Amino acid sequence: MSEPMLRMTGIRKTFPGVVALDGVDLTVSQGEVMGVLGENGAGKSTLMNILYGLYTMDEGSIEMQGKRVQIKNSAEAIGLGLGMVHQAFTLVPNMTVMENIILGNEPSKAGVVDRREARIQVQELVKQVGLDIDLDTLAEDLPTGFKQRVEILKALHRGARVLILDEPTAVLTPLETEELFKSVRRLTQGGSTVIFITHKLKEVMAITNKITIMRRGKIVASLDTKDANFDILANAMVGRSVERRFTFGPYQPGEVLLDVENLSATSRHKTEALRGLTFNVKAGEIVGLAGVEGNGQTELVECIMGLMPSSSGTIRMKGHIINHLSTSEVLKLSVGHVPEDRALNGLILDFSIAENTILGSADRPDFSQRGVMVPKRIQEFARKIVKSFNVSTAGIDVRARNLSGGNQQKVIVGRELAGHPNLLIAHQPTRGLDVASTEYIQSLLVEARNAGRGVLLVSADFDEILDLSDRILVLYEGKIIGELERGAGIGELGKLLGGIAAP
Amino acid sequence: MSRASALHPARILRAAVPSILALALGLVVASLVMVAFGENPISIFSALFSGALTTQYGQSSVLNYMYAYLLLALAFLLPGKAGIWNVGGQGQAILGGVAAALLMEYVVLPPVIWPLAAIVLAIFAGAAWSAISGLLEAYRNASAIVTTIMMNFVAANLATFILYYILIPKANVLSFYNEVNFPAALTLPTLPYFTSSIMIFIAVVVAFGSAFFLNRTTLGYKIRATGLGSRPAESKGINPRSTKVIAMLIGGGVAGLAGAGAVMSVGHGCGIIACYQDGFAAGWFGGFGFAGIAVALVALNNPIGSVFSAIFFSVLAAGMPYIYQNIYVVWAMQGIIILFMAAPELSRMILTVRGKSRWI
Repeated sequence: MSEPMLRMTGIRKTFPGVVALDGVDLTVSQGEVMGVLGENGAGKSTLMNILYGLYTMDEGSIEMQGKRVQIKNSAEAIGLGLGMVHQAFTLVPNMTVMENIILGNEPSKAGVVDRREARIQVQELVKQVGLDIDLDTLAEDLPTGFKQRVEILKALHRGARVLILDEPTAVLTPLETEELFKSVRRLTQGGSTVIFITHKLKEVMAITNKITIMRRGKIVASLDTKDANFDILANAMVGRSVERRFTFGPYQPGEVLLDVENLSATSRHKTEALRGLTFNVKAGEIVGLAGVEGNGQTELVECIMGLMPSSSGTIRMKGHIINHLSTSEVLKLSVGHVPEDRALNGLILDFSIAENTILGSADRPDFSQRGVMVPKRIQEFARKIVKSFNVSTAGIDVRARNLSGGNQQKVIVGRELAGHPNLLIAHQPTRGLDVASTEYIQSLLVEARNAGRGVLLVSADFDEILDLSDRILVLYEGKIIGELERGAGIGELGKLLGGIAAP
Repeated sequence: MSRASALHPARILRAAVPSILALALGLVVASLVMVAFGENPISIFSALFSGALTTQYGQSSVLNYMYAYLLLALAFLLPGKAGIWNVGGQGQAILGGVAAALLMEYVVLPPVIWPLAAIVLAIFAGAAWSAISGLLEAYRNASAIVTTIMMNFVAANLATFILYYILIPKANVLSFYNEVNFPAALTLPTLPYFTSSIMIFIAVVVAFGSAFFLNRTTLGYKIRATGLGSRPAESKGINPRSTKVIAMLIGGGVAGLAGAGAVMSVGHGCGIIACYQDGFAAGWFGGFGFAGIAVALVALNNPIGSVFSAIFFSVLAAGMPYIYQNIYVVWAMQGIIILFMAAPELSRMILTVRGKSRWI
């Protein structure tokens, strides 16, 4: 343990116009879990991509166990015992777990894959690191948490001694996260070293031994986990104290805007997604719809927005039945919609910001006359949104693709709020955003509520639900199984989320 | 919207780099082929280009090829902007031409209105033919790539049937190669000096109109939105299905217009009944529909860019008669150009120096 497992010194990397990394030092010892914490865009991924040979650094050096190494591509990184598990998985869906693990490093005899030897190797590996998994399941049939486990095993099978986990919990349920943490502990007990990249404070506290915090391409703090607490970490990460203090006006719910009664629907996979759902959203309140994903949230929002048919029950907007209206007709009833996946459903990534701000409203007389668009007005409108919603961008002609997640979401929320909707449906509005953007988007929802709009907040982020909602509804297997008032504890919510109905 | 910046010369140049590179590589590789066959590429190319560009026949021929190439390129790229692949410009053009011919043979209208009515009918016929594939893709999930290709064969055979059993008997053609002219009131005006019709102007106007339509009208905006992101478009109330069908109708209409141009132009285009049979029998339009796709692809689906790539392809086609037995060179070149354009990754690799992308 005299020489550290890995030492990166003075790493500098610039992209055109941006200094992504500015003299970063990182030292990781064998057997430890190093948490690399930072907001989106802090440089965590760039640093790891350099380590893994995906980017070349401009300056700096990398040593492994005291020896200077040059890593030109990921094959060399693998050769040096580095393994990386990306957020997006790279498994071949129609191969079995075992085939996936050995892929690219197959034991062979005379050019033919030696399946028996492979099985022995993999079984031994599984036993050694204690990551249980059925080797003969097809990768496509695995739940997300297990897919990740296969990725980890794959890296280990290639001889990884340092495992880089890039935001590994982003795709996991709380239970799967717990399992992952157990796996990580087992791995480090076996002598592996883990670099854990995240922006979640709780996780970094739960699993790491040491924490390095990055902000704007620099290391701003480096400390032992036992010396850390949420305040220290949040301050270092954001550069100011995180106070989720929103100014809520008095809770005075007004007329019923959205009224869903006994709604049932069948999902695209022919399963019953909604089973007799009843709730309403009034003006001047935030109704939080909590639930572990896959309990009917997507289908509910799609039914309301006219993107999917319901099989029975009614949806009313201000008393009018809207079940059979098209999406554009629903939007005309003063409904704003921040969709679930901003890159997939919210923005056209290859459109400019300006073009995205008029998505769905190009026909409005302010933006077009007799079918011909008026660029000047559209530009004015886009500039107004960029300005009033703090979108940081070089201009309104920048493609949405080139914005950070937070700025993309600001464009979407800005676009929806610019129409002054009576009802705003916000579906996972802050998923994957950094702390500052999250807080900003949430404050916009609170402002909308204070201004007398109704907000339906559909979220799997339970802190968000607890912080923002005037009323919390818990969705479980297509039904509302409980309602909580503001001030409810996470324990109460937790039980309902697990399907234990309130008495 | 981003007009000011989109029209910046440096940006236009940068956008055109892959196209120009593909064209240049096409010339180079074709030259190598010629050398391999013991021919002199310089003399062949000079014969080709001087034939196409310096003789009256060649110049007229360029204009004649060009309107068809350009319109069929637009017929491909306009639906393409909505994310639907119209490989059926060929069939739509054929039926447009047949519809115009039927109207001219069976209906008598006052001058000026008569040819205009024929053109409008051709546009509708092309659109109607494309609608079948458009509807099938939008509402029944049948890929338009497949159905439009199939519809090309149906259109060709339908046109042959109409030609031999309806048009030729009606027009009282005695021999297959007799030249029976349409009434003069029906042919499109001819350009001075050239032996080609005003279709070239119509085609260029349609190209610029398409650029305006796509970038400045709300329908064009919806078409682009559907093509670039049908899910966000749908979640904001733009119906991707109907938008795709509309885009397809527009593409089919433009192809139909090309068909009308072919039967209504005089000179060595058509404008004579015999021309139908001559052309149809040999797979009328000689693959113009597919050449149009190549033109659009080389222009990276840009309507204005298509004008320029149509010029290039037209010069190659018009120069072919001047290089005699060496026309294989032109086919080889077209193939190579399309190969390079269809492999943008390849061009990107060629243009990428040491991991730093300099152009794209």
